[in-house]
Amino acid sequence: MRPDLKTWLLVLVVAAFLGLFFFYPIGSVFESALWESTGPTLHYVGNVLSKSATRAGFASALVLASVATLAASLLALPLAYLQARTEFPGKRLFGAAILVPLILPPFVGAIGLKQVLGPYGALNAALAHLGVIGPAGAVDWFRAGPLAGVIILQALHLYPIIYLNVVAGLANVDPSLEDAARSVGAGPWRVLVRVTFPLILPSYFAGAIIVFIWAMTDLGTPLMFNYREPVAVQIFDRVSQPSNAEANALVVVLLAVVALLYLGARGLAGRQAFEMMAVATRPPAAGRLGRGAAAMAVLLFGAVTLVAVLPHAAVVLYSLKTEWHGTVLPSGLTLAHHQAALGLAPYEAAVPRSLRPLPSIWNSVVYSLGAVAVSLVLAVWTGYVLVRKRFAGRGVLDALVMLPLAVPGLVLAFGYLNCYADWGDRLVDAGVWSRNYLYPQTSPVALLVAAYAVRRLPLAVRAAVAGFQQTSRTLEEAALSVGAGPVRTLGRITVPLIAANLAAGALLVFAMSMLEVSDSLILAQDDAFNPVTRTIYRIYSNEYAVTGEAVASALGVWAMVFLAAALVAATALMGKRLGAIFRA
Amino acid sequence: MRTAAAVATLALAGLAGCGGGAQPSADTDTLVIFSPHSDEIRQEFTEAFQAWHRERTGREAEVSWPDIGGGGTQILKRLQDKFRAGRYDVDLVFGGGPIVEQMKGLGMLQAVRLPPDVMSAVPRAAAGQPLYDPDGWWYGAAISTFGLIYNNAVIRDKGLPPVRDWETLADPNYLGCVGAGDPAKSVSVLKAYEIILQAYGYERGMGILVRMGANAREFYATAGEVPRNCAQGFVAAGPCIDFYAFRQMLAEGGGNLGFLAPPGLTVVTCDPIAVLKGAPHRDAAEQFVEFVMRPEGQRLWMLPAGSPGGPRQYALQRLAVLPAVYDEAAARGAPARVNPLAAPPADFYDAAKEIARQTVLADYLRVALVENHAGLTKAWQKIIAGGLPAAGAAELVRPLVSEEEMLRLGREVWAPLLAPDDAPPEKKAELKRQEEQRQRLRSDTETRWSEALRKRYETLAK
Amino acid sequence: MIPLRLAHITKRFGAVTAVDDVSLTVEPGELFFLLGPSGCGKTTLLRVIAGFYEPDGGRIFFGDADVTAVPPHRRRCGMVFQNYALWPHMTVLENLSFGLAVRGMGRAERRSRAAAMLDVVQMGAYARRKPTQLSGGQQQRVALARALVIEPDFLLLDEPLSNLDARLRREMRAEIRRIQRATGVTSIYVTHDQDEALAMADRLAVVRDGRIEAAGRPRDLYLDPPTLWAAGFLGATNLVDGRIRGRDAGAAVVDTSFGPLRAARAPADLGPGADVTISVRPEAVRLLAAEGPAPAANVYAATVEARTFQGETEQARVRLGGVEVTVSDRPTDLPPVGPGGAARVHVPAEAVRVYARQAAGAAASV
Repeated sequence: MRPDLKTWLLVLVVAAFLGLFFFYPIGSVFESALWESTGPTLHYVGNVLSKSATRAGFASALVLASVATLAASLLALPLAYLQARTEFPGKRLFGAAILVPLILPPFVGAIGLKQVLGPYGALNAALAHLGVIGPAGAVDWFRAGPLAGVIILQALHLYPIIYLNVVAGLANVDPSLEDAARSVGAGPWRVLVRVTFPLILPSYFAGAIIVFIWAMTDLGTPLMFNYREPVAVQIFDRVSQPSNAEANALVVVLLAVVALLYLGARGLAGRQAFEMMAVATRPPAAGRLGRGAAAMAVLLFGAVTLVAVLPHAAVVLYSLKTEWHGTVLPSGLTLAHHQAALGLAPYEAAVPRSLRPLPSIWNSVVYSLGAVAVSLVLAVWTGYVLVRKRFAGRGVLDALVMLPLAVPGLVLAFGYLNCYADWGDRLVDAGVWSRNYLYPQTSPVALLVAAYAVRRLPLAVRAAVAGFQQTSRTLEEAALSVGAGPVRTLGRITVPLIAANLAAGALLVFAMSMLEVSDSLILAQDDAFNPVTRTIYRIYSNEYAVTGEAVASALGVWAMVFLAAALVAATALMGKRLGAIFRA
Repeated sequence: MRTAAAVATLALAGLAGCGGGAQPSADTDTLVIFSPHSDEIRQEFTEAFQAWHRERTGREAEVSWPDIGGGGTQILKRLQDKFRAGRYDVDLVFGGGPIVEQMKGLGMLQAVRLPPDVMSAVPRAAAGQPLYDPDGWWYGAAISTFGLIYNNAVIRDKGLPPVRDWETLADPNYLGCVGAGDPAKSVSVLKAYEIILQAYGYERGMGILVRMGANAREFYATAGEVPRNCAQGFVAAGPCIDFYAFRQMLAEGGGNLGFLAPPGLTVVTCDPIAVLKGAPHRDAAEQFVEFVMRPEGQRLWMLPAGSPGGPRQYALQRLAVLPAVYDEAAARGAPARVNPLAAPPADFYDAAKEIARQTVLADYLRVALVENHAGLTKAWQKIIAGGLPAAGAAELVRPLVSEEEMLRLGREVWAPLLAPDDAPPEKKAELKRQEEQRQRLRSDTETRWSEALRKRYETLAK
Repeated sequence: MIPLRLAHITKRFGAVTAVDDVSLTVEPGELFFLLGPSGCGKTTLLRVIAGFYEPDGGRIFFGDADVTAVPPHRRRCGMVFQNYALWPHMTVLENLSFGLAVRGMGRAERRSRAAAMLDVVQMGAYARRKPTQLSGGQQQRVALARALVIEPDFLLLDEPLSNLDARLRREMRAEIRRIQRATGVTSIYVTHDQDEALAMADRLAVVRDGRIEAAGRPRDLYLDPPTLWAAGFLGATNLVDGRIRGRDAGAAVVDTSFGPLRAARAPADLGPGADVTISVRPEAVRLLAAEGPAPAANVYAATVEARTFQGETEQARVRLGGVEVTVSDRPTDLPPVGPGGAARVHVPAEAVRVYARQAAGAAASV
């Protein structure tokens, strides 16, 4: 194909957004790591790479990510297949319940886990009650096996990402392709492995690569276990020091490793990505399971849901406790913390007056919706460019889009602070703005939305790319042939056709934005603009109140309720029930 | 595609337009304060200052406390970034411990003269520590001591020896039972470690710190996590600043928690307030400093919540710098606190040493304790299992650099070179090059340390 | 109505030249076929016409307008895709209305036009269905209606019947022909099925390796294929190698393994001694009983090897000299000679086509 001006323009828009909201803000990281006044330098990269601590850090991050991705896949794939292709009692309910890990707020999620797994936690109390351990035999589960603990938690937290993508992918598979395989004598297992799985590979890859990078660069979970090996923790340990070139070099190396790993994985999976000739000409048949199989399915869903919902249950109980120390369940219940969290007890010591808990939930909803809108538009655009256009450097762009996943939130947030305030000042000076909309002290909204959108963009892009890959071009050509322009074709044909994938992406972006921490803590500086995570953090870190953690948990419970309600409402708006939105 | 872009722009613009934020009017003074102080302190001081200011000047005051996501270190970094970019939009630094001395050295402060009637009530020093800068660069707004918080329930359940002094943290019985702050993340945490170094002398102090690190269950990013985790029973004890402990004890209420300031082995420090160079609202900033140093401000630290002249909502549990306030607080029924103003001077403490090696010590301890924590713990476990052979225990904690070398590195390599704004460009460029050379040296030294210690811990764990 | 003209169109994919310097004209109202084996470049050529591919060389004219650089949605070409490409998220009616809405047409008019077009394809009763609820043939009709409802300048059909079963395919041939006649739209139809092309086309072009091998009316091309390859590709034929013995004005006598064969016509440049291949359609060859009256020339003794009854016709494979020849005739007109029996074969001189012999494999295998 001849060099195509339009393609380059499309690419330019994606590159410009990434440049503006990602590379420009973190430019100082690259500058500090790779540049001195005498010219470019690899001194710090060299130092970082020559350290065995760093190498061990990368090794452990890779092990962590590989095993966590494998574990999350083993959880998500069977569940997704059962949900998409079979009928069993309680399927709808389970389909929704399986997404609960997506709505566990930070901080209080950790409180919940500590309440279960700590030395005076519920698990030890239960074991002591059963006589398994003596009074002095309390196990500190966080120290029992940090690596295994991190992997288990990550897998339990991240499997919905694979699950959502794969369910969306299965909805797009033309069942006649599977029927064809059955007709030539392939058994169900062979059909699954040789036909169905290759067809949903783009969707699986979309989820798995995100889980992999997420697990590899995750900070919160390893810190909870004091597992300090992974490279992300090493970066975090240094990032607070003033302009530390070595920390920045570590970030640069991490970004390079993630980009290379991504390109490698894409090369492996990409060779096998197939576009179906058309989307399903009839809906996939949902096979009714036999009694035994249905029981197994219910058991599987039930078990995963139960384990996944444990921290939530602990958070709910914690928010209702009067005292909960060394017992299986709280020794007494009260609604006082919820009253405080909802502002019904205005002088409750745990909540400083500048904090407005309920409006901050609403703030988060608005910001997250903004992030969903921005990232979806960009994701459709990027997916279109990446899948439908051929141009030199396509792989590079594809990898660059994934990088926001790997950049520590702190680094990006500080980048925003450093880079954009001046712009806003200039616009105010020029009389364009009455207020600096790019400065957290005057208005953090635009920065927060941009930060959420950028950090969660890879989730949306992967979903969109999978959709484009699975949707036959001829459906778009058919629209062009009856005279619809590219924009209308995209809007009326392509986007509706990949709606299942986009919905999966939007869901993830929304939930993960609602629960975002580092950008929220740094970019919101005026309490009037607080996202709920910052309000929770402020109440949680209140050193003056007996009840700070419990009130924070109560607010966390309400954040979960709102988030769940928002997800249900979003899917209801689309006319389908939660979990069933992925049926074409 | 054009439609899509328009939608995105509209979405951003629309969102940017919504939301609150009152415009300051002409008869309102605005203050921007960088502070690690908690919401409660911010709220009480804001409200009390507004009332005092209104009464005195008839003008309203708005106080904004931007969140910088960290303590003194983070504040210094943020301000350095701002000053480098030529942004002077912050008026005051309130809290953050010893960073003011550093900022004074870097020319980031603005001296303030307070009226003699205010200053006459403030003691010159507490336990030998100066309470304000003689030239008015900074003022000590509150004082605090360092010690250990401990949980008697955990000590009892695990059969641990009782807490005596700092060395308890290095006791092999406390393996996995110590909660410690990350020295590179929190200035107050680092201060506690510096006190240990000076109280016991460099070599012995370093031994305590390394074994404490080996005992640590985990390292926390903020100093406040130590008392919290201690209260929850995750750890038995940990170094802690007095008011964190007081608050946690007040909150916990059950009597399991205790705080110990090892007599003769700790110091009093003050939490300063200072006006920043280029402060956009300098007059109001000076008013605020005066308010904080007057009895009206000082009472907020110690009086019970809701008492006349005291804080409205929160008992702040901090120690004032005015001796009179201690009596007032006791008279109003606040929990009795030892008055550090009356304590004998801690003659072992050399503040110059602290300032000289602050950053290099943070990096050394980060490498020795945090970065290689898994290896350190394994080596320590092995030594304990081997019956604590003297050679192994000594080898584990032997510092890689002598005290003199550490101080030299602090002064000549770790101290950042920041050119004054008015320096000529060539001078700035020269300083920048020198700073880059220092940075290289820092990075190379750290790399060497990390390799050496990792190898040492591995050998000892075999 | 306007003609379509391609001038020296070339389209390459990397090192492969899919369309190689193709020029042709499609007249207004015509049903024009592009016929060729798979991979010959015919679909590529159609997609170049639709605008989905930009040609690497040459120009495309719709009437007098050069549309080479015009994007597909401005070309007014209705297209029917091999897999129908019906939008699964829209009903049948919405599939049709979409193209009209694009043109800014009001809702009422959209509905009436779409409904009218559905009636034309006899799908009026299915307007509210989703494509997934239709059979293959029904989807085919809807795809056709969707392409036609926008009243395109050209209707492009890409192997539209290849996914249907044999009976439906025959039905739809007539149906498409009828609808094309009724609407009078200039149409270009791509297929690999020569029966389809011969039965339906006003004119057709045989495409081979990206080039036009032959073009013309079906009857002319079938009866008088300009090349040996075209002769082989357009229906069944018997190919026999020989050498020219002598020429007599237009006619020629060819030596074959079963004796001299007279051809009524042969290319003028083939003189005595030239190596040739002759082509005779099976239905032109007559099988005669071993005894009885026979024409004077081009009659040869033969042995019947096998007979295949096919309903309307019956085929016999006979051996004469060193070659096997297929004869096709109405079952009643074939003499009752079973396998192994002796017979005679008459090859009418008018039915014989003579081509210069080419390297092995040059003829299309049939």
